[in-house]
Amino acid sequence: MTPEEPQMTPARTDAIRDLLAERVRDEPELRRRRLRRRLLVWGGVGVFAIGGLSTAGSILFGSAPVTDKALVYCLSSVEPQADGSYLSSAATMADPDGPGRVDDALELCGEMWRHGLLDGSTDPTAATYSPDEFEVPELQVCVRRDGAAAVVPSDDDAICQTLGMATEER
Amino acid sequence: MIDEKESDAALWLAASSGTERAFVTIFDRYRARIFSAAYRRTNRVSDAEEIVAIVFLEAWRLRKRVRIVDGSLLPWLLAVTANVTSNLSRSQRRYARMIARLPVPDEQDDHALVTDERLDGRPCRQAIHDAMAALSPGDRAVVELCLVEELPLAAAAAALELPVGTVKSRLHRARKQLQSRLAVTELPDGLFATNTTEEVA
Repeated sequence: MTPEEPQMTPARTDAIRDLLAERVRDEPELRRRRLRRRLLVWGGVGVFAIGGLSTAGSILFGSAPVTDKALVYCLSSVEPQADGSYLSSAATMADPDGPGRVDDALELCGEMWRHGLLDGSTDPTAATYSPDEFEVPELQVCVRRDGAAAVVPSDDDAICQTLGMATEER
Repeated sequence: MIDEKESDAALWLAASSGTERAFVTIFDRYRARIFSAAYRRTNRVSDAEEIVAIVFLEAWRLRKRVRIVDGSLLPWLLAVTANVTSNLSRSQRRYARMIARLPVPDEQDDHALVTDERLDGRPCRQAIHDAMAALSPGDRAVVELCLVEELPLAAAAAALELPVGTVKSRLHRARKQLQSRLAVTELPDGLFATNTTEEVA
């Protein structure tokens, strides 16, 4: 810096310092607000029927690209219900310019797990609700027949085939 | 408890985990350098102060992408400063609500400083400013990091997320343009000399 260059004014320096400290302090609340605004979860927890192929294992599927990015299905469990369907939530990211679009299904469902929205016992509207305290299980991205992504909580690499879906083509 | 002498990496880790004191310490460590770089581009104290605020707000927004180059945050912050200054009106729009909360700047101070500089008789400063402004944003960022801030080529390349070869070629091109634009201006010895940073590559 050359000697003739001016300095920041003390009043504005202090104000910027306070602003930055506040920004860091408020981040958890801002994240909560952003999540509420961006995440559209239809019907809370719904059911996800895997087109009659849920008992598979006998049919081997290859990999396929995700062609429908408007929706992502986040499964809560790989245990089928009595009717053979799977508990899941359908989610998307709100896009002001058109229909929702999800470029990273894993991140979206991971975020829902992280906020306890998929563990089946959490009420996000409860006063005691505190996000970021929930464990995210290992997740696998599968591709449904309609081209939408389904994110499954499992550490089994072959879970997509087991559930009658293709693995995600990268 | 934050130690003021803590390394940038340790401070940044603490800051990005939500320790406001660590973030404020980083701000205090680099605000003068960022202000100086911003002022050289804008010639206005109030704009340069707003750029400082925006650069650190951007650092927070992009905290997962921050690059610590040779143990220092400065190269990355300077690269952000170059980007913010190139798109100042867009950056000001993004953070308009926060900037509006800053105290009103004393415009008289700005005017007095500019007038002082003019009276001080520094025609080459204005010529350099104009020649730099005529560069493309990419070339200008390279010139500012390598020639003005005197960062090594490798550090500038890391901060700008560019290959070293690209930085080198941009620098070469920018130097030629500056030399031709400033051919009629009497410049200090050594400025924009062709061998300034070659040894770093």
